[in-house]
Amino acid sequence: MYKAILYKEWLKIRWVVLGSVLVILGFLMYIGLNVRQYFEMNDPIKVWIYLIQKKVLYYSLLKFIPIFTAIVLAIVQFTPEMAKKRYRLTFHLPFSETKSLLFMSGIGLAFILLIAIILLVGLAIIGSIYLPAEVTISSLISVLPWLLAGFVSYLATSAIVLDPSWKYRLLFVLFFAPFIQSLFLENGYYEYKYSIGIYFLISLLFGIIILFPGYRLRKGSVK
Amino acid sequence: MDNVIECVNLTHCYGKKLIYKDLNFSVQRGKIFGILGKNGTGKTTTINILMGFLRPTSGKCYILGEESHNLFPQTRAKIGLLHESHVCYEFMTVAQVEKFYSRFFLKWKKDLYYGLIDRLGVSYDHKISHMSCGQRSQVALGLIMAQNPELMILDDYSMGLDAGYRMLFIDYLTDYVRENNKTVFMTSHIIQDLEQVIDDAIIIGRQKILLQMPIKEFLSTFHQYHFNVEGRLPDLDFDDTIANWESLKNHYTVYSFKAEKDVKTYLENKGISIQDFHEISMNLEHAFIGLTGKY
Repeated sequence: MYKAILYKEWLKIRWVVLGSVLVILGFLMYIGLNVRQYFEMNDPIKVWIYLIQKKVLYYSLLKFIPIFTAIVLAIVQFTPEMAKKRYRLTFHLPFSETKSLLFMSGIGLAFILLIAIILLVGLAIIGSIYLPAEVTISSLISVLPWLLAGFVSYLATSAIVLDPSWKYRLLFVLFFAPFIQSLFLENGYYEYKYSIGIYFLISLLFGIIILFPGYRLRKGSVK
Repeated sequence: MDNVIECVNLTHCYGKKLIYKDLNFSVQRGKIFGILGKNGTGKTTTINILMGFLRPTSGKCYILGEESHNLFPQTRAKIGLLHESHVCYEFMTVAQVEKFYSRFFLKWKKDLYYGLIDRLGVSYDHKISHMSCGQRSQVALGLIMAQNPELMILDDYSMGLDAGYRMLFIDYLTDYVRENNKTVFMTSHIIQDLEQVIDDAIIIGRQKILLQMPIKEFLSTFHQYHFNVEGRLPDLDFDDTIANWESLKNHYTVYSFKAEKDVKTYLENKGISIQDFHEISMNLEHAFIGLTGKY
């Protein structure tokens, strides 16, 4: 049954998965070429001033990729379930609806994890070729809040799309927007070094958020 | 008697609006049961309660012995649901949707599904979203038949179907149900189609059940009488004899469960001067309108 759900979700998200992986790989290549060109065109002191003292994040092009991908993914995954009340098909399957919803969102989160891994590996490779290890490590740490924003945005968008009530949708927006926004306040490297753990623990609590709209759908909040 | 569905004192309100109160009915195993009613009388509400998508304001509904809003997954496997407008996963193809559902049901009958699809003449990689409403209805029916359920709940199967597809749907359904001794609970806004299909029915009026009986018994005991009246046009009361009545100028139509002689005597005892009193035969649609009224 898990295999069947995985099959259904794959049919919905496959083009988003392929498209976003291609886009991310393209962006990483662009960043790599850009860094190489900068090193070739400028002397090392200028590069140092540019990267470290002016705190220019050479990978800032990737900033909104995780959140954008996550939102598109949640919409593509859950809008077909809500259109024409198709969620009723899922809820009538001989399979626990709680497990079903958690597994569906698990599939989405697994894909965002894949995106996160590609981003981190890509940045690590670029860094290992052109930059000192300290800069590479700090860039990987600095990118973590953006990746976390991707996970949280996915959960938030899923809940907003799935919820049958506009009141609750608005509440989800008001609840999640400040948290997600707070993950984009960096102004250089290492900014979230000490707080990212707390952000991560709070984000874990959001993992079951999808069950709340699911419960309301199942128990008849929709006329 | 083995009841597959049993609803006891079912009451439902949307906010302050009462849909119906203390509805009681049961559906016996092996029967095709119809729920008939005009728009807004609560047919879809009842289906939603039976499907477990709505919790009734009060009362209980049992399906295969379990409360309908709390069915175990293994019980859901025994119930085939046809959703209004034949909703299915339209982003899938004919073959993909079969592959998806087949993994959930142990008694899956692939041949039944593809037998129906082959009749449509569509390829297996045809996307469901590109199908007509009629074709989609066959896909939905094929999936339910392949599931091999004990109970089929069909919510307005006729919605969006032309006469040909309605006939096709009914032909396949009745053949399958009779051959496999299935129980069906169904609604349709095209009452006439149900005449040849359903065994028992309930007719819901405003906030209550007007009638529950086998459809053949209803058609044989419910009568339509026409007559003309001279002089003053009387208002008739609804009682044991007069189930409903309507008039146009001096022409009267009375609907009753009583025999012709009894109704005629009843009217004469009221002092009404009747002329040309005669019975007119009715099909299910006329009988339904006769009982529930045109408005």
